[in-house]
Amino acid sequence: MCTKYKMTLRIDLQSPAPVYRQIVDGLRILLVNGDLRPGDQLPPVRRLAIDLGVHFNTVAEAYRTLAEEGWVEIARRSGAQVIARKSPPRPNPEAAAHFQRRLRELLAEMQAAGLPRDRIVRELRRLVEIMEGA
Amino acid sequence: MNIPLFAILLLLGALGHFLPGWTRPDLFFAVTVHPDFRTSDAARRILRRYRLIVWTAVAAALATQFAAGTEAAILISVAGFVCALADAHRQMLPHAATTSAIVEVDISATAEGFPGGWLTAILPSGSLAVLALWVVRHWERLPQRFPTHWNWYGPGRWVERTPAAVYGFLAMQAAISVVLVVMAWGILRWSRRVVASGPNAGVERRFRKLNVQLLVVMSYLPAVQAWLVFLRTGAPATVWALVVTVVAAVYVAVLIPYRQGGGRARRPAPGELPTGDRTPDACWKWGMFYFNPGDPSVFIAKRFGIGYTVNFGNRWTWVVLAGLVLLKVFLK
Repeated sequence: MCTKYKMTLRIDLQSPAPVYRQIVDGLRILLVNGDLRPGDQLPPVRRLAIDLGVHFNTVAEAYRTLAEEGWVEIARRSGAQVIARKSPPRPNPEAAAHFQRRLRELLAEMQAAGLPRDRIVRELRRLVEIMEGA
Repeated sequence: MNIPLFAILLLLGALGHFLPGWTRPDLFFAVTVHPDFRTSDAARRILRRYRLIVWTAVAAALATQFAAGTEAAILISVAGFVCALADAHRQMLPHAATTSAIVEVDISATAEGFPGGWLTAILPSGSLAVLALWVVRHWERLPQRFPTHWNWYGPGRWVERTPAAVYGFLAMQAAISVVLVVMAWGILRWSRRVVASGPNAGVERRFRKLNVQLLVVMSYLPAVQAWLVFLRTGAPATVWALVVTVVAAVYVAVLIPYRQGGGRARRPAPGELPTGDRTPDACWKWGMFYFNPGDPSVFIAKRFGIGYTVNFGNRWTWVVLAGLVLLKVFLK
């Protein structure tokens, strides 16, 4: 592992979202933000599964999904390694509309849960800054 | 009066008395609770009842040692401790707290290795291989009879010098040494790290390291015993057993303040749920046996007691246990 600071992966075992999806989402955030860089090694499947308390296949499935998305390369001996991802193709209009809808749904959910509007805006700004800096 | 037995029984009683305080702050009799629960009336009542059963069993063992013998007295004491724990665990279950379902893992953590590296861990079994080669060349220098088992008073079992006895003894000593090293490796690689960040992550790491060191130190005893027996150095192997026992006792004493890796656990904020050791309460049978087929861990920090135990729900645990039994039968 090349990184010098701690990177934590957080999952909720009671969430309706499957654990493997949460692992993919959590790791993707670290990859998109540049916390995990090309050449970095992901924890071995066995190690991560034991620490999370989930089946090995759950973690292996998450790593396969990330490999399919082009983030990591899986080798039998060395495990999963982050690779330089080729620029993804432009999403088609349908996919773009789907992501916009999901974003709006999430914002509505945050407001419905009682989060103040200014806090949501602050958080969105922070994310944009991270995105621009990555 | 059998003074050593009297001392052992009192020691067992004292251990049983204090063990409930040597676990993670949010565990009580192997059940996850809020740390404040320990000071409640219900907790005090359960603790009193537990200690009463423990000391009653010790008193019964002391009273019956003359009629029933040493083994029976120790058995009574241990059985009393198991019953006391099982009873306290059962009483505690209705008080179990809802635990946090959030799990955090430090994915930047480096893999932990043997303290001192692999060489330290393979040295005992390696030295036994060297001893086996030495035995081939110096067969006539071996004693005609040699001990293979020791107790408090010295050698307990002697065998004649035959190839089967000599190499069987060496194989047994090597097997014990390897098993201890494998257990140490298992704690490093096949056990869960509960906390990912904060001061307690460091405490947990040190706790794990001390357990591993203890097992590696213990793995040297079989090798030292075999060398002393065959080289006839005059240093009795019992002394070395005593030395290792003292070292193990010191390690255990050092481990106590770590409270099973939860020594500096942050108290949950108001409204926050306790974490415990992130294993389900229902999987701890009688508060001491962990059975969880859904958990990939093979080794798991004990909820009640000091050190690690195995996950009896993991098939690899049974494979290893069956291997040990077969090895014992084969070498006998």
